[in-house]
Amino acid sequence: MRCIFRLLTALLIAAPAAATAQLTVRGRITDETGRGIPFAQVLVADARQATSSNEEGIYRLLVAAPASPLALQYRAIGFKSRRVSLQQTSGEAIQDVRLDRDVLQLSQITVAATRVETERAQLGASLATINADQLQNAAVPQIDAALTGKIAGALVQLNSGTPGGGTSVRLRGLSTISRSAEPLYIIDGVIVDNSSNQLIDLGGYTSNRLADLDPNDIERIEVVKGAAAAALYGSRANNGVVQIFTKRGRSGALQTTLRLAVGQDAVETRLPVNRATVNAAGVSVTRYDWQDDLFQTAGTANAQLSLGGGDDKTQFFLSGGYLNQEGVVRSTDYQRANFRLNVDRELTSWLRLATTTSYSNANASLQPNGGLTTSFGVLTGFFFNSNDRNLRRDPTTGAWPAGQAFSNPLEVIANWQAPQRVSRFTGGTTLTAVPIEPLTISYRFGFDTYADQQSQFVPRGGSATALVQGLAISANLRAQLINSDVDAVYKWPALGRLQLSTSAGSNYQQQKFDGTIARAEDLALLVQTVQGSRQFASQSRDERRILGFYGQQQASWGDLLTVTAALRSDASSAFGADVRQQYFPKFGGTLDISSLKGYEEVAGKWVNRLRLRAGLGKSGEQPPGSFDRFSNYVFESSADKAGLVNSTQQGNQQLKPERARELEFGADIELLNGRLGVEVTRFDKRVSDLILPRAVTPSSGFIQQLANVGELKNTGLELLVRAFNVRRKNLTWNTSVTYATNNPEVTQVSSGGAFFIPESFNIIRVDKGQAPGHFFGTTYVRDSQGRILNAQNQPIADANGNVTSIPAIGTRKIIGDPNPGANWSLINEVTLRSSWNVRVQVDGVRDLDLFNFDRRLLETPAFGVGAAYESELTGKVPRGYFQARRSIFEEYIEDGAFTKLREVSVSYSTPASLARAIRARAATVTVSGRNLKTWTDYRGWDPEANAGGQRTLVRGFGFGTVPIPRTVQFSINLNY
Amino acid sequence: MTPRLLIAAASLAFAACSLDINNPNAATEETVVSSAAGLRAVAIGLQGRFGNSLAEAVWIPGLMGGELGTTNSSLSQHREFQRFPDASANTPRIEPVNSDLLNFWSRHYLVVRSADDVLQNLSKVTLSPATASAMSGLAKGMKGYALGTLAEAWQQIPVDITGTQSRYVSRTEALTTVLSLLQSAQQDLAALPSAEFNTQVLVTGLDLSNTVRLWRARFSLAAGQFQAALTEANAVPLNAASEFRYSTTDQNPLWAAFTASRYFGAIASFRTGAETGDSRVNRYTGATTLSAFGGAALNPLAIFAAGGEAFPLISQDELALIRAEAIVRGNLTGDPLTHINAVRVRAGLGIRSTTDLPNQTALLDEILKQRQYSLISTGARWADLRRFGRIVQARAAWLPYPDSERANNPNTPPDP
Repeated sequence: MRCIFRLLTALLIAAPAAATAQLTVRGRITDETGRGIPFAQVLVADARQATSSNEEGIYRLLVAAPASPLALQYRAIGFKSRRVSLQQTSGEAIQDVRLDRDVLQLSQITVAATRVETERAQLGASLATINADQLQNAAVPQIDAALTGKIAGALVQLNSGTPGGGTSVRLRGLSTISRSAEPLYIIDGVIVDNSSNQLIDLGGYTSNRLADLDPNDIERIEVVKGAAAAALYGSRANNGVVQIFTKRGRSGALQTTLRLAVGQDAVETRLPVNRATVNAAGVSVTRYDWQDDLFQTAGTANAQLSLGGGDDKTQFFLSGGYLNQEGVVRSTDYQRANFRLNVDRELTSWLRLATTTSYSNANASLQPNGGLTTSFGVLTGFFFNSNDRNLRRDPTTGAWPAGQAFSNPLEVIANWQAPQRVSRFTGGTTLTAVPIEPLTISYRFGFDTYADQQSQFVPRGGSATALVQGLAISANLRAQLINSDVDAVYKWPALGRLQLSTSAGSNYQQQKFDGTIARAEDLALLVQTVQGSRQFASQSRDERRILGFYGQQQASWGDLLTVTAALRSDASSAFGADVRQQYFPKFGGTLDISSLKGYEEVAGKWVNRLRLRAGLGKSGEQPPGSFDRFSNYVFESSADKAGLVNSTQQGNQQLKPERARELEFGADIELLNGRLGVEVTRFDKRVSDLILPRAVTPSSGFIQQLANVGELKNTGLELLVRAFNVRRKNLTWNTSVTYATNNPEVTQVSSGGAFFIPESFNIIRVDKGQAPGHFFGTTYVRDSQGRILNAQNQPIADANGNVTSIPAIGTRKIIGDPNPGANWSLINEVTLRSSWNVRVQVDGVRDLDLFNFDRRLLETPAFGVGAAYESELTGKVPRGYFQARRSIFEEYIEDGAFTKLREVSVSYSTPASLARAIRARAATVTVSGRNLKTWTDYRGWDPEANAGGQRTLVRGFGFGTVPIPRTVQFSINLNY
Repeated sequence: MTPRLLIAAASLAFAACSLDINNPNAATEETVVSSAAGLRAVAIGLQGRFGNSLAEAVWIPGLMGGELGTTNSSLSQHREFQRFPDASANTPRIEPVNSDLLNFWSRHYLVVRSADDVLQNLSKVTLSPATASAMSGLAKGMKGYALGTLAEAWQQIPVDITGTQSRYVSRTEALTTVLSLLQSAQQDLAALPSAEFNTQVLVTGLDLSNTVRLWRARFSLAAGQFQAALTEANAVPLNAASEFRYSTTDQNPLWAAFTASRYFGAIASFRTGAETGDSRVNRYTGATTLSAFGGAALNPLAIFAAGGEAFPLISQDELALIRAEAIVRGNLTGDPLTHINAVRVRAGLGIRSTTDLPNQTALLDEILKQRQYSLISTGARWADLRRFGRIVQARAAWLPYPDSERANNPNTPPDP
């Protein structure tokens, strides 16, 4: 820590003198239809003094010591920026401004790619921005889930419908095999943890820790998909970077917003069950469908109160939120409380302080649903109990029938517990100094810490034979992340049309994790904590430090050309001293053809703006464990003594970061007088030095070693089309379409060749020349016409298509690929009379296969819960058909393409008079729906959910996973 | 102030933040093998690894030798070793990627590796001569045992693993190495008693000297050195007991596989083919029938009743039958019937006379039969079939080499 504060003192040196004269500028900022633009920025050209408009578009800016003429810049998200020159230097000036819509959003100011405030128009690499208004009616409590379909080139996969369940975000495909493929998340400059800590395997719905953020607090999100991230985030940037900015206070009257929402979640589909009146022995039986006893229509309630305001020197934003959500699986729920205080303060005329603090506390009551290492649970209980068994509690004895295999799901719902708790504080402070006019130096300190407690309790004497003595697990993880950054930006005086800006900085990160897990078996009766006759405990700590420096030079020639070059050097404690220092260069360039002299006459009528861009960058990724390079001696107990043995993982002091080289080209085209914008990008990302376990000769006394042995590539196309179809004062209609393709391929694995991914039921494999993590399993034996053959090499079906014999089990082959070939979205938004707003989003994925393990269990004769198995009981297929078929995994690979009606929202802003009746300034009522309808050929509950959770390569795995619920929500927004 | 100055200042400030962080979860190689305490810890870890190596060395030879069968058809890592149904087209191949095959191989080499850690570094640390000698005996003994067990399962094995691509040696050469290690271990253990070793290193329950004698007798028999086998077997007192202990939390893996999970069962002919009144039948197996892969009828194994039960390392029956076999095969002085009858009496059976077992063939048949009943689920059966010339009854004579060994060691011989 000492090293961090030493820097602070370095910053607080010598202040220039303050000035005296004052000018107040006020006015209204409107769009082309005359409506006020809320939260538009007004800046004095050197960016030292700034304000923003209120919700009606009205602004007031106090300028100390105004220059004459005074250059003011007006900016708003979604609009082209505009410069205005003022002659007046004192008193009060009134200046109304109209801004034009920016279909390409090239005027948007971004910082994620360069750390310097840069217009998107100057970026060589593509960067996506999302604003609060695109998210606020998404009706989803996790921000990453709300990103679905919003960004071209981002594949957002909802892995579980459990409340608080996790989401995977893949920017331009997978960039790694052995470690997390999630992007790096930065909130208000604080590098935050987004781990999916599966301390207990409950079945693939571990939260990723972005779940702790309240989406209502978010102002804006910037997503850097690739190469551009290189220089600023170096050895952690292979998966891309997502920067989130939370709301901040604005000077002026106190803005109070109260948002109340209630909603309902339900499971969209029910699987057809076996209704045969006899069992395999021919005995007549009663059949049950337990789905309605396992699922429920779940209620949700969400309230958020925020206060924002301040004066010219100090602004604050304070918010508190509470979410209470029931899960669609009975006896599960989730509560989250959030608190945030963001404060901005001008300390002196040259020094500003911005702080951000947030606290969140999440409590979830969950239930196990199988998983990749265990099969107990509610939804797995549906598959693992023949549906001719009555699972209800015996009304006279009060005993629960034992589960046929594993557990009785009704007893799990009634008696088992899996409480989870996360308590988290995230805070950051930024000091920005302008010691001399064109030089800005900022120092940022970020701190993120949480305690994640996961526990599970199975009472003694329950329905699961293997756990009849009871089980209690308590797992705790403490995480602490610190980042400490210095950035300096120097904008050189303009040399004619040449503008130069130089930036440099350092970045220090430290992260510590400390995990303990305690487990007890054979519990005392009624005891719910870890106390039993067999107790186990273990602990593991991880600590990593990263120190990086970067320098960046940007040069612009008018609006025509911008070129950026940067170099970052990173050293991480995870690597050996000899290979620790790594360099990551980046280049970007953009050429605005439409600003060429004479363009206007030649093509300006058709193509209003044409910008070409290219980017090339290198970035890195670190190994999963901070101590992976060492040849460790680890604990080995030996009856009554504690000993040490060499770890079977041999150390590798030469371990280096995984390195990505990303090249992208693109064009931004504005057509039809700014009504249609097209962004198209082609990317080619090659990752080398993938850190993979390499088998070591086992007779050497080691089993494996981590080494930089793999290579993969992703190539694809991203397309974004935005259209202002109708733009009138009383009616606007916007459409946006995204379409992104990706073609991933593993181009090199270690000399041992293909390998299976651990905990994938030995069905997911990595092969050279294939997509990463494809399905590999047993197949049908077929003849040249593709007919399925039996063991005697005869077709199993007769000429009429009736199955008459049992299929033979063929060799294991590649049978599917869960990596989507493309994903797309279509969003339409209509605003009527500025009081009605309707938004509809449809999105989907294409070209992928899913492994429907659920269906395999449904037709497994031992349980036979699914309707398919009826055909064997009624004699339509020969006896033994399904017992043979369950061994042929090819059968259960299904087309996973789907289209979802993702979001529908209708909001109505009441007239001011009505709002005043309830003493509010404005009131908005919204009805929104989410995941309302799914169109798919997949025959499970949900093609989106994945039993592997956020695991990098266990994708598309349908095994007892909670489906993503259909949500309907009613909300009211009141502004005071 | 210029940016350059600031960066310089920042570099200075950060220079204090060290990027060399020690691993709190584990010790490093340098610290462990260079201190007496570290080496003692490795000697303890060696015994833990020995305990971890016992399970596969029981069930894989048990399946290969046809005395065990598997109950779960989906666990291919077990099923592939099973002899049933023999000669059918459905008998699966033993895949080189089989995880149990790798475990059987690698867990024994982990024992060798930890033993080598002790042996190679003993001279570099300060230990009392008695402790050093005892630790050397422990390491040589367990290394000898591990290599000997491997030599009973693979046709050729590496015995020197100091490089990354070890050379393979023939079975004869391997057994020579094994016996010289065990002999040397005995000398080290006979040197001086070390209280430090006995209290701080040796795990409770392990009678090291007598266990090493038994191993030497066992592998001498395998190598055809009958006099040595007899001498060593005779040297173990009749009341000697040695076991590897487990606890309620560090449970006996064979209890888990046999009793808790019932992954394996004894083939039904163990019960049906027994002599009337043989008490070993009910001591080692249960009467219920387990469903089995390949149609073989199986009975549950009842050897370990609880997870905390120890794994016996010395069996007086094995010693007696080694003596009998060594005398018969080596034409040595002594009466094999005494030793055979000792086993029979313990099993509640009547004694055999020279009339019952008139010649060498009859004696060997009886010895094999007694070994089958006394040593069920100890891993002995497969090697016995080989020694008694009945290897055709086994799944195969030798195991294939694990895939990762072949992929990384060009010296790996072709599979048998």
